[in-house]
Amino acid sequence: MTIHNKTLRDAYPGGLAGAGGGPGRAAGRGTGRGRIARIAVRLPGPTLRAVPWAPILAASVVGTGLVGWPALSRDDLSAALLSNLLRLAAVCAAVGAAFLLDDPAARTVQTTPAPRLLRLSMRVAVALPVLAGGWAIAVLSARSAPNGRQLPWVALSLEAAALIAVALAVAAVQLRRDDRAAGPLTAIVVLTAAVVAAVLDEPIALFPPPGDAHWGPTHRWWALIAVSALSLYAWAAHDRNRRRRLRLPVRARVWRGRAG
Amino acid sequence: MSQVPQLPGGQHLRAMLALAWFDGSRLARRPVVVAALLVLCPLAYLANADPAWRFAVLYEADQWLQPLGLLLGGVVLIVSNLAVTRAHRDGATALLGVLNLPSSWRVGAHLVALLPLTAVAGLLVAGHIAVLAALDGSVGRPSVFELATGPAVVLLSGAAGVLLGRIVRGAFVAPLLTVVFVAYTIISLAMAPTSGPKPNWFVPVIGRAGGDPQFGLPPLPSDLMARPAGWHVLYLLGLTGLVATSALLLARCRRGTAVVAAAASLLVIGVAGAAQAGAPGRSDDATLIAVTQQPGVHQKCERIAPVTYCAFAGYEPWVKQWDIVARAVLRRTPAAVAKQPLAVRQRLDAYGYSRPADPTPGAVSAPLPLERWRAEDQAAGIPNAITASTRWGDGWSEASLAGRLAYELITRSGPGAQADECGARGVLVGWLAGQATPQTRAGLHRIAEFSGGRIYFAEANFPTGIGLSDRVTALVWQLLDQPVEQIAARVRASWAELTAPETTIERAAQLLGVPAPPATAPRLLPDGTPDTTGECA
Repeated sequence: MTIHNKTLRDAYPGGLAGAGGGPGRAAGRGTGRGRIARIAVRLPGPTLRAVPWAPILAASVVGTGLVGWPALSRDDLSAALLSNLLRLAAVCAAVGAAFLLDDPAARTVQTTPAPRLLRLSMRVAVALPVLAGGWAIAVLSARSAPNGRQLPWVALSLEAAALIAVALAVAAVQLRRDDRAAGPLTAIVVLTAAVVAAVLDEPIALFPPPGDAHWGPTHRWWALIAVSALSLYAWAAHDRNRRRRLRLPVRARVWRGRAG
Repeated sequence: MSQVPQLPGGQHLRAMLALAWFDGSRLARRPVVVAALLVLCPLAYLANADPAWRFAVLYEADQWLQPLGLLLGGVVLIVSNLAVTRAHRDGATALLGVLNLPSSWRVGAHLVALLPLTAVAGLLVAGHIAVLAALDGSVGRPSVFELATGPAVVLLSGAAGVLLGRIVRGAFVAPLLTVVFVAYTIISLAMAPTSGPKPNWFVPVIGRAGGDPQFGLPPLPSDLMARPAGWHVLYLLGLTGLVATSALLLARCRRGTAVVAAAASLLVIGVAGAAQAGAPGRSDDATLIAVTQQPGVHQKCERIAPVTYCAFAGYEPWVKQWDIVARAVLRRTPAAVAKQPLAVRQRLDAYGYSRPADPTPGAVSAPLPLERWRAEDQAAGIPNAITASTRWGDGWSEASLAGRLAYELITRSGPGAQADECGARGVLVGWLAGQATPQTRAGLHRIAEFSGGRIYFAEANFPTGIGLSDRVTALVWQLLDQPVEQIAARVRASWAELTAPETTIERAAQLLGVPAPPATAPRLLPDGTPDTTGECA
């Protein structure tokens, strides 16, 4: 079997399982951790080419711009406004992350020996530095504003990380249902969640202004949200079909025996 | 495309409308739209709801739903964009090429499909204002243009989603654009104080003229409102026209017609944009100063013996409400006191609309025009008319009116009274105000909550007011917990002594039969010095 699809070829460096040919044998063979480690080492390069960069880059540029442009062009922005702009930048990053797991070749590469959790997490690993870089520039520009020196950037970064984790979790869950494209729906869910978070008031305000009495408890909530979202992502991103293989019907087992 | 047989004349329109009907109903049924209409908008509305909605000033309440137009608009932008790019995502673009409805007509169908959602937004706005207007306490008349702004923003956002779908295929652009939209609005609303010289009318939604409905400036009389709302709606519609024709042009519609339509839209944007930016946006300074100094020119007076009430045109329904509070204060006073003539006049500090928002509330640059007020009241035959504001229903206004009325009964000092009370008079004023109605009592607690635990009867948005000391406030809470009739009988019996300026709080407590609260140590300010505001020697 010859692989014509570029994305498919890139996403799976070792060729399709049992399809034979070249490096596929080396990477696909063996069992357990050693095999996965061998795949993981070969995955970053092709994943770099397969990730949908347009939404990631657009989200970073837009997020950086909507904090940096006002923060650098005027000096009368309040700390509360600056932190809200940073939150909007975090929402942008989460919108970009919503499209990260979309893979036109998803249906085909699920037959490759690279586990789904590894494939999806590798996408996160290669895209995260870009999102983090954009976020860092946004934070630096906000902190360079006269009222932004005291901005609690660690806590705001926690909010951003939690929003990105929510986007990834929603996308992974959505891809379990329908592996075509989770991005649009995930982006909508992320925006809706952000609006709800912004609307919530006093006792459960998720976006309090810096210096608010609820700042500490609120950020414990954010940490909880981040951890829950990551767990959900890990559950939704693992390969559902992998376990089922144990209970394959006899005919399939025979086929597998011949092929592998 | 040229090989595809064209539909006969008139068939295009029918096919487009059929497509628009399908797409319109699909847009309205999308879960996010339903969630926005049923959950997000009500949540956002309730979070920012004015507690005084029962006594809405309708020519301000017509702006309350405009921010929700922005929220719904963001949602519509995303879903209309998804609808236009659906064929691309599903890999069906090539298949659509063989249809004999040209792509420009299909884009037209997507644009027409926005109308049902716009209509839903319009119905929500109309229903909201109808409910407010049906309430007894609402005053004034809403402006059709202010009401139309929200739905116009929804339509513009939807059209922007369609245009965006024709330019960029990626589904990620619309959500990002929505965030940018929100950021732009946040920055422009936060940066251009709405009570400042000139708000930026080029953003889709402009905040209320007086700022925050609860803590900003009180409403102006209706004939002094000067928001260029009509031009603004026209500007939004011009923008919508330009965006729609651009989308049609990108879909290769008939060039001539579209170019003419785009030119017409540009003309509308230019004219309406210039008009809204050039409009003063508020009445000129002379008018604002005049209404502050001589409000009577705009007012009608009504006498419900023994009190005369003067209200701005349109505010007549509130006279009944003022009278309920006044009567509740008067019935606790001796008959001789209650019979004396009293007057209440609506006043507001409209200077606030002309100068940039002051960071320290209550800091008024101009001195109170007391001379002019007195002269006007004398001429109208109602000397010493005390002040009612152009707000009602927030508890605050009720309690302030009751407190100032009680103070007037005791001191006859007229409008502009400024005092710190720490003796029997203060106790009496606080109790009379608190016992009047459940609203004044709730308002008293609200006032204390916002002024550091002390009761303070403000005079509309003027910097003058009557403050009660900590001990007096404590005694007032104590008295309000006692049976009303019992305290009222003691008040009537010792009215003369309680209203004497030299009577102390201890004596007042003794006369009213409750223990005097202990002397409290002065509170400390953050820098360590004792807080002496509102304390008497």
